[in-house]
Amino acid sequence: MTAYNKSIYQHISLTLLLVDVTQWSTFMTTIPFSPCDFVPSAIWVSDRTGDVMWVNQYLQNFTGLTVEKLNNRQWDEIIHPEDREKVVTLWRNIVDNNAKWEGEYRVLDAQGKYRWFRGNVNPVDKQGQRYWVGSLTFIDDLKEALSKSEKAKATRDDFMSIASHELKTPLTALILQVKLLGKLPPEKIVNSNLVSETLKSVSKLDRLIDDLLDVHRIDRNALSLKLGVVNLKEIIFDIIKKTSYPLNFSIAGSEICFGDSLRLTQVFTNILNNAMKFGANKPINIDLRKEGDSMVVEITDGGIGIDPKYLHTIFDKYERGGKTVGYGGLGIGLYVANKFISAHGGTIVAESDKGKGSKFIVTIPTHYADSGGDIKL
Amino acid sequence: MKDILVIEDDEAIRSVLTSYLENEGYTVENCVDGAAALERLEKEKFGVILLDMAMPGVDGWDFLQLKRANKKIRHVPVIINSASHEIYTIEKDVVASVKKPFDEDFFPLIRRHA
Repeated sequence: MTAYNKSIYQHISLTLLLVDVTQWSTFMTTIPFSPCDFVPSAIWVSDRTGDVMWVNQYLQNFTGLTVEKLNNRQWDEIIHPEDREKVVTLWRNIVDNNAKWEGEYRVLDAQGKYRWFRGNVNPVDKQGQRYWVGSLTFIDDLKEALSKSEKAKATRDDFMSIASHELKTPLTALILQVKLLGKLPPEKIVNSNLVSETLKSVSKLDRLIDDLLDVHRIDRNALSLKLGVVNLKEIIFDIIKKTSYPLNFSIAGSEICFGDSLRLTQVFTNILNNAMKFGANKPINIDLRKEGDSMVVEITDGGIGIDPKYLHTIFDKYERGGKTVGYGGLGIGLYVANKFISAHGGTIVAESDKGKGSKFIVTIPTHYADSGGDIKL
Repeated sequence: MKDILVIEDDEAIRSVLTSYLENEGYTVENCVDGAAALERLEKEKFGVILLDMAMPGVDGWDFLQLKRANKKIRHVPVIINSASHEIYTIEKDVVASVKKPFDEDFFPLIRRHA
């Protein structure tokens, strides 16, 4: 019973195969092109010496090389120098051992740029002859996406460690301040500035958490501006009156523009905090003036400056201008400031001479183009 | 001679740690970084140094190297008071490594050296 059924199945399979092959063969003889030339991957055939016998159009277009050039043993020259030895060794190994191979390497494109491919090679025996059929699939975009995602993960991990340290600093002060408040007799507390210092630590923690939440809101496009008439002189004056750091504040002409007073306070607080932190105790100049239809605020310090190699990244999220140990900071102050000013239709430009100081030029249009009410960032 | 030299860059911690230790009856001075501390140590003797590690300029690591190179002050015991979870080797002049915030469990240690 079993044997009878098996033979029926074998018969049916054979019939289907015959039909299939007949159709395929007919198809191959009637179409006027090679389907391999329209596959978005490179396909090649070589003999055991490594001489390329045939390549599809994709590989010729991608490399800009003809089959003759590739055939002339030049295929290894289009492989990235760092991958060449590995690929040549593997090629010898698969030829000697009749093995299959699969792996990733970089190939030079016609524009002179190396691109990542995933290649595989299979031995094929036909009419007593051994051929090697290989294919190359473009994975450069996937590699780039993977590298970007790994970099983003590393940046986020670094940020978590920095953020924990930054939150820990005011918390350390706060724990000691509360402990001391519990130990000191009331008359000593009244005669000291311990209560106001404790409140300062609480505000510092509160501000750090607000900054973190702002980054989260910007990332989710969930931040909005509450627009109104703002007085930039008052905003800046309110910030600088709290510090004993040496500052010169000059105002020429108008001081009014249209914007979100709370967000603009954050912008100038962040820029001025940086100027004081990196200002080496040298005076900071703040220059407020009107230029055409914009208000311009220039903040110049004479401090340690920014290394030119970091100047273009200082407005990026989690960037700290190459400063790590000791200076503190979450690396989000200028990122948030730049996002807020862009939302106002303005710009922030940074200039710096390493060792001589930095200048931040904030430009805000006096009348925001969409100043009809609240706007989403 | 004073009991403790606090080296700490954060203004709030420096100030409250000084008051906290003074309230325990110690004589305390403080410095904002390693460079200021090295100058201070040239002028006055201290029983023990309470050292923060991450500071701008001359940080805790630089300070330890410079202090060890100076015959006059290399013997002064140091207690590392750091915010990180890193554990510092107790060697030579470093008698303890304490995670911030500094608390009363470590007063006996200070008493031994101050």
